[in-house]
Amino acid sequence: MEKEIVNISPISKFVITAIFIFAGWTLFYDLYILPDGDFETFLSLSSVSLAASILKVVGIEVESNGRLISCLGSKAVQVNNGCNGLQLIGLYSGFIIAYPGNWIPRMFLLITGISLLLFANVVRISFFTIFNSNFPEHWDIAHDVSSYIFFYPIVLSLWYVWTIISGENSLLKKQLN
Amino acid sequence: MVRLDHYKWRKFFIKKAIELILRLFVFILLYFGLVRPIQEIILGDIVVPRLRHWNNVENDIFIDHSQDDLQVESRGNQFIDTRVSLPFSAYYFLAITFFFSNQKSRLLGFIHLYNLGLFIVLPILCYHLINGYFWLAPLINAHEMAYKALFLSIGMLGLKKYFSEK
Repeated sequence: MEKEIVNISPISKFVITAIFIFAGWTLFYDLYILPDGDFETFLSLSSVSLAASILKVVGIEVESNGRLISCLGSKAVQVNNGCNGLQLIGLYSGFIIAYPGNWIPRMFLLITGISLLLFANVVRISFFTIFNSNFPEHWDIAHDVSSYIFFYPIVLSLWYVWTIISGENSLLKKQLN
Repeated sequence: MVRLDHYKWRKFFIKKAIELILRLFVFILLYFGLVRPIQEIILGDIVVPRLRHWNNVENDIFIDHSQDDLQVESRGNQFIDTRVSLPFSAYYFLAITFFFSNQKSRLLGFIHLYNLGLFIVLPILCYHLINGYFWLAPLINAHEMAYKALFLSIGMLGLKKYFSEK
């Protein structure tokens, strides 16, 4: 009886670990990172600055000031705290940490994924800047669906890659059915 | 021999990919064509009016819905903006889409039971939140994000299992 309690299956262990990481991260984000604001502000300002640089490199005339970025003569986009994809980065990392596997490829995938997501956010801000200058009336739709276009494909692809390269199959073969 | 294996693998992969596309098509049709409109009606006609009726902190709490998400917000910033999706959301259906199988699965049972349980737990949490238990807001949000991420993760496991099945 005691042995049954101690020996939880790999899939149960994964689910419990994932729930704790996902919920814990969201609480930490909502109760500390977001109210504190320093890190989010740093992310917002640096993302706007990078997006402006990228757009200038590709020949688009933009102006940026603090959190604001716009194409010349168009309405500006404001990057607020909470709009940097930071929450999603925590959720991305949660799966990579909870799913069993070796730590070296795990760390590699964590660093790669977080970097990719931060860069995707810069691309997303660049996209918003151009979109808002051409179709400001459709801003809400673009903002609503942007996560599904810029973040989710990266998150889901890297999660899938991790299930492949982790070399961990026991969780699937023995326990799912 | 190698060519034959490669041919078999390619045939297997194409068959699996087509079946997966069909499953996703059924998911989109079923969820966006039937489930989500029903959820929007339930939220707009039943849940939101009921919560507004229960709301005892009338001037401060804003209750509405955006598509299939319930929004509970405090105008005076007494608690963080809270979003709640109804049980059996898109994430549930996505996980089911990838996991769908004629075999009995304990994990599928857990997924169904968890969502059924939310029909009891979520109204209790929302009722207490709008009656002044504002400390529940971060917990509801944490659950919401964990729910979505967990069901996406389970969907990912389902996808991996799907492609590893012979």
